[in-house]
Formats: sequence, C-alpha cells, structure tokens
Amino acid sequence: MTTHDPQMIKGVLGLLLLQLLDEGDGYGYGIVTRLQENGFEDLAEGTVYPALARLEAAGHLDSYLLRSAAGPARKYYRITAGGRTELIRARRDWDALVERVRLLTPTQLTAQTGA
Amino acid sequence: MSAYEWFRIRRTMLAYDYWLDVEGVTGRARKDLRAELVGNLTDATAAVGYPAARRSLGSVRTLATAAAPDRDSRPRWVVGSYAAIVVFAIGAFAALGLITAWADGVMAAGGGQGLWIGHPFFLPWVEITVRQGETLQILATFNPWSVVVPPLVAFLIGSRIWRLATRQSSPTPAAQVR
Repeated sequence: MTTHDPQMIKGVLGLLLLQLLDEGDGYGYGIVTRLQENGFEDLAEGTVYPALARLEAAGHLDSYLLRSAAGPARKYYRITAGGRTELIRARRDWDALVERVRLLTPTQLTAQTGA
Repeated sequence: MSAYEWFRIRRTMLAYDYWLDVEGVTGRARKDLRAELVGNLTDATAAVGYPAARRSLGSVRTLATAAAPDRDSRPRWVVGSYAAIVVFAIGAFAALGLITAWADGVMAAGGGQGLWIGHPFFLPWVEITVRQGETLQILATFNPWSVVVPPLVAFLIGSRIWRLATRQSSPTPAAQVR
C-alpha cells in the first residue's frame, strides 16, 4: 500500500477530485473508492466529503440525486464549466510546481552550478 | 446489512444532525446533507462493515462544520433550546432549595404550630407560606413571568436570534431526484 504525506494530499485534493469528476460523475463513497483504487488508499471519507462540499460551494461542481437500488438516493457530483477552468489552472500550477521541485534536486543543482 | 449496523448508522446520523443544527444549517439543507451522508455511510458499511466505515468518516462534528458554508449567519435553535432547558433546570432546583431552606429556617426559629408568610432573601418575588399544624404545608406563590423570562432570555441569547435580521440566503439545495 502506498502512503502519502497527508498535508501534501490535502493541498492537491481539489485537483484530484476535479480530475476524477472530469472523467465522469460520481457520488461520495464511489469517489472515495475510485481514488483508493488509483493509489490513494489512505484517503478517508472524512477528508473527501468536506472537499466535495467546498468545491460545490465554490461553483466548481454541481450535484443531482439519483435513486439507488442499494439504499437511499445518492448525491452525484459533476464538474461545471468553472470547474474545468479551475482544473486546467490547478493542473498547470501542479505541473509547474513539480518541474520546480525536479530542478531543485541535488543532481540538477550540481549540473546547473557545474560544481 | 444487519439491524445492529442499521441502528449504528442512525445513531451516527443523529449526532451529525445535531452538529449540523449547532452549526446553523437550516432544515432543507440539513435534510439534504443528512441524506447524502446516510447514503455514503450505508454504501461504505455494506463494503467494509460499520466499524471501518465509521472510522474512515472521522468526526461528524468536523464534517458538519465543513458542510456549513455560512454557519455564522444563522440562528442556532438547538443551542438556544439547550440554554433554556439548563437555565430552567438550574432555576427550578435553586428555587426549590432556597424555599425549602427558608421554610426550614422559619420552623427552626419559631417552633410549635402557626402560620408564617415571607420572602426568601434571594427570591424576593416569591411569597412563601408555611403552615404548621397537624401536618406541615408549604406554599410558594410567584409571578409566572419569573419562571418564563429567564429561560426565554437564555433561548434568545443562545440561539443568537438577532441573526434572523442579518442572515444570508440559504444555499441552494441539491437538484431534483432523477
């Protein structure tokens, strides 16, 4: 099982959720299981649900209820046009951050300074 | 899902509903949030069992806080109700104790049979009549407002009633069921 720094995950959770919902609508627990299947086994429902609520409040997601044969109706989230714009921005920022971190590795620093 | 798990989910939902109310989430929005969580918790329980599902959920108070986008703008009716109940209970017990102590003091000082009428020091608006005959009779007379006003004031302050005048509009509830 892969473990992640919880603080780092919190920082990119919005990006993860928008990315996931850009591929298809999902409901709370379904989203959690999709994230866990994609290598984020340590992500808990208690972290994901508030993040979904925040994204919805910010207008990046909207929601609808869908009846479920297994139990109560499920609240499905889907990404909005504003959410897609936010996803593009967040992904660009993330790529830039990764690139900067990569450039700061000792090997790269050594190569750049010629030491 | 077993009946025990069903019961435990409902118990968790009661706690969640309480904290949503404390956070000032209104009836319709609260119902939607409750429905969403009961659906998710039911699915999680079916998949991994209630203990793991509940553990993964974390604190329902934290969840409720996160789910209340403008929680500081609405009255908190539950908090107000609890404040009123606490003030009423404390007042009732204190009055009972003071009245009993006053009557006991009068009887100890006077002795024998007779009729005493007076007002205890801490409850000047209460008139106490003690009649000592073959049987002991203690009667306390007071203005009903003295019972109603303190809990009412506690309710108004506890619920932050003034937020009704300054509250923002409710968040849009979830769209219709498909």
